[in-house]
Amino acid sequence: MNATWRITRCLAIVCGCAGIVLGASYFLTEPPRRTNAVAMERASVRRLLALADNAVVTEVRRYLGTAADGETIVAYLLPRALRLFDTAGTVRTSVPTPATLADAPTSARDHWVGAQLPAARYVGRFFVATTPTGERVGYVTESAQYGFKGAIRFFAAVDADGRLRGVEVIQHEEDPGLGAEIVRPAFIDQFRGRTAAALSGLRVSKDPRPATPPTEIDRTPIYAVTGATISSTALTEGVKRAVAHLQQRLDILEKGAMP
Amino acid sequence: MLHQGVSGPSVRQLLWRGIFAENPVFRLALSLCPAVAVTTSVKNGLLMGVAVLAVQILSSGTVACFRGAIHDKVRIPVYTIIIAVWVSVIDMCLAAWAPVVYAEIGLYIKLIVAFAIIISRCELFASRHPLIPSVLDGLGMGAGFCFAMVLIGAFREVLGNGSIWGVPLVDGRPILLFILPAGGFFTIGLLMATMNWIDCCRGQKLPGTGGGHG
Repeated sequence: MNATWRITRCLAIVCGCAGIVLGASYFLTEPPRRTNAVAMERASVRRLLALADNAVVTEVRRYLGTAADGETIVAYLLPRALRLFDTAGTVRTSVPTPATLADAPTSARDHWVGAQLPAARYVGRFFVATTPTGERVGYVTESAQYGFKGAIRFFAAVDADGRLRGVEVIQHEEDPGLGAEIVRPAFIDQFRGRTAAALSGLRVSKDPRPATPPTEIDRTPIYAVTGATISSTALTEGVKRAVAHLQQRLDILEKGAMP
Repeated sequence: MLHQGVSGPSVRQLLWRGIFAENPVFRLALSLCPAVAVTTSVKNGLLMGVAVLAVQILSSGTVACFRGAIHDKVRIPVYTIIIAVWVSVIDMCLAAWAPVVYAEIGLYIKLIVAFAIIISRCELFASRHPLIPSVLDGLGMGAGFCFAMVLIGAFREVLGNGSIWGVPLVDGRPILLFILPAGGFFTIGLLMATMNWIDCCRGQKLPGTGGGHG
């Protein structure tokens, strides 16, 4: 009995101390980490679309909620309005966005949407890039796909002509030396220049990659990373899905005129 | 027991032992799984090695400080918690204050919790020695692991990819097998045999057991 008590006390103290140390580290490191993450994401969007310094990037956040009559609602938070659609893609209502929300942190924007649409939860986002005169340059969509060990979170950029400008992995937990090689330009640059409309037929090949550059890029498969077929296929499928969804969402939004 | 005694091993012995005589990979054959998975290039090997070095020193130091207070029956779970806390703290600090470094080595850090070499040094050395020798032992073992990872990485990158630190030496891939997982086993076997051969040439007896692992 005495021994059991001593063991319990020892473990409890150790776990308690571990909890305090971890909690304190999290408290100290979370704000700068979040700032870094946002800065890195902004830089990624600009790099992917090769944007000029004066280009304007707008974040469009998407929410799912339930209307008073019980119907599922998809809401898009645009700079000037929060647009609510039903699942068929027809506009239900549109609420003007208060000007104070433009530079507000993400949590404040999510909170405001929650007040307009009961039980709204954030489900995804994409970025729209325009020139200062309002001309559309391209879009970057964020998405995630389950890889070998965990979610692979990535950005896929499509320009205004409907061509894939590139893909960038933002976060992943694939194995170093194997699955992690999908972030290398040698693999990920294979997406660049493909027509978004031709992506549905894209497949992954396990063959060795030919030394000559492809002549017809839309008919060239993605050559998988050696030893990492699962990670390569996951990213490819994720990109296909993300780009298809982006186009559907843009179509829905065009009906109610974009930002 | 190997490491007991009032005076203990000298500083030079502590450092040298980890690097050659009791090298974690080539002698103790510990943490071979990450050693095979990660070392497809010199850079990967070095980053992983440095991450292990940091966690090893901090964990050994912490265990040595609190060695009197840890109940003997639950020492292994306690060591695991200590290692996990250090790994998480380093992970969070790098993400917050060194995002560029974190982008490179963030993946490696998370793997370290399950490394046999770290818990083995906590159990076999740090739990019986004061702070300074434990930290030196951690430094030696961590450096030995790092050295092994760089050596394996260099061997595999040169033979498998025809490059070193990403700089191509020859056109194409001389022996692709070496960057595949199977090549990792071959490499470690070959390097281990080379170490034994060097020992034999120096007229030393091959160790039958090592570091109390025997």
